[in-house]
Amino acid sequence: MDKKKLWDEFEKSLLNYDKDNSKLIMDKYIFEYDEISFIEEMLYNVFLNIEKKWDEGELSLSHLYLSSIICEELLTYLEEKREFKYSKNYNIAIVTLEDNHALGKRIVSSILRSNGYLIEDFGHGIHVMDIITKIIEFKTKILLVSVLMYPSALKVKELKEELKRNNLDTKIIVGGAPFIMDNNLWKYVEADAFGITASDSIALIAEMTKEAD
Amino acid sequence: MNKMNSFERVISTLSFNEVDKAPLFLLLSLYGAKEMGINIKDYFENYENVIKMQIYMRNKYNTDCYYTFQYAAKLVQICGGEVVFYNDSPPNSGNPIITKFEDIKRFEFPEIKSCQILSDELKIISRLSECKDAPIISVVISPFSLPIMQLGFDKYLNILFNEKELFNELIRKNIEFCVEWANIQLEAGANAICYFDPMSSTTIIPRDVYLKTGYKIAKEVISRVNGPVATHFASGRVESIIDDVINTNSKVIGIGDLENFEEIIKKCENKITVLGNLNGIEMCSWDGKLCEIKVKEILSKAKRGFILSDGHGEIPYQVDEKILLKISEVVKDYFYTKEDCKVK
Repeated sequence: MDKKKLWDEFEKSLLNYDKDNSKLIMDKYIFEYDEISFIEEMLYNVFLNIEKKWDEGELSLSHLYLSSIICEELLTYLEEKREFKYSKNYNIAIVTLEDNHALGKRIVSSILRSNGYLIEDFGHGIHVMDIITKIIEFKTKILLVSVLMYPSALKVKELKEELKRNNLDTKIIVGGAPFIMDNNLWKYVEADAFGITASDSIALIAEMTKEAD
Repeated sequence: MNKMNSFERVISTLSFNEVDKAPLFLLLSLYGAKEMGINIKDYFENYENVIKMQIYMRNKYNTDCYYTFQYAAKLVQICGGEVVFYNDSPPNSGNPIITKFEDIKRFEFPEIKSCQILSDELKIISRLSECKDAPIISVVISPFSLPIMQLGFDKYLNILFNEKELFNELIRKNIEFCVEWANIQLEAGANAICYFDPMSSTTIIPRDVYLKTGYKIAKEVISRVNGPVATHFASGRVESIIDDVINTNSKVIGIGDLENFEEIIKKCENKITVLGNLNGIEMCSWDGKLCEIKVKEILSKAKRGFILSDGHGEIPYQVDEKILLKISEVVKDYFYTKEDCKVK
């Protein structure tokens, strides 16, 4: 079975928001190879390609978002029906800080899960002190912070201050429209890193977990 | 060239003619609360504050328009929705007002005349129209973008792609409200309507989907609005849909800085006025020197038919007043000839 052909078909299915065909291709792929290969090779690389095209202006946010919905559903299906376990558990969490626009968080979460990472979702519209409480509860080592509004982005500085005050060494990776509009904003708010695309988070997490090891 | 007043300057720009000074639209909505030193909720709750500060800010920053827009979430507030007020950012809509798809069938807008907060907005327009010294720009949220607040973004994308009947039903209700609200604002004294439509930008949806949806909706709305319309995409990408926006009969297109400014200016030349494209987020960290460089960079590439403004449709609260004053100072040195934007 031609892997590349299947990947292309899968990408087309995602972009057409064809859930049924996407599942058919998944079943075909898993039959030939296995779940881990499906998730960490096909799902991940196809989603990465879609995101790259979005970043270059070739595809729209709706493509990216709807693709992530299907990916999320397929991942959940595998978790439940096939008892798939994530291989990478590094106490990583994701949150939409202050504002209620959870689209970015959903997309990033999908791509991380498709790369085998176990991700704790802290939710959206969450304030700084509630995040600190959750970080302590879940012993979070890396927190991905997604925002849409500029004042929400500024709250990252407050989050960093509270982390210091509580002697927590959690690393903060930020992303979202304000950080894309102003590429220096992440430094101003004292985040540890920033990603333009969801897939940037993969490289950043790999770097941070390597450092921790 | 004789000195023009703001009306003359804007009309000349819309006609792609010479102007004495590059027109400037500083779209100052919640910024008025900062100028007044009061919180944003209190500022908007008293329409007299908005009138006073629009006049004050126009004189202080020498901007060529009054901008009566307050916050988009008003349109869910009038339907019983929640609005979240912050200390330093635009009021946001809270939880979606339509939580189940079946609710779309039951959903109705209230009568505009019965809504105090909309009546107050008409009072603002009416009082500012007595100044007669600058055009009044009022805003409607496009029927195609409004469901982002009504349903939440993810549910909306779902019905857009998967529930055609529900989508059409909601859009029809939104169109009727939008047209009525636009025309009532024009009757009250607004000179132009800014049709706020980020959902139609290719940042959010591809052009082929836009042509079946946002484009048709805009065409219908604009044909029924009794005055000139500017279409704004809140910094979203627009280059591949410029000709389509022109075909909606919009007189102005709002642009951000994600795309090639020179290419956009070229495509729009003598066809549609361009409004943009200062980066409002970056403006929050500019100093005077950088501000001057950025503004000059834009104006050096501009042509007739260009109004300098921010790319998003609202100056952020965090922008220092010194930056707005600097922008106002720099544009004084630029004017439009038959060929180009020139510096004095």
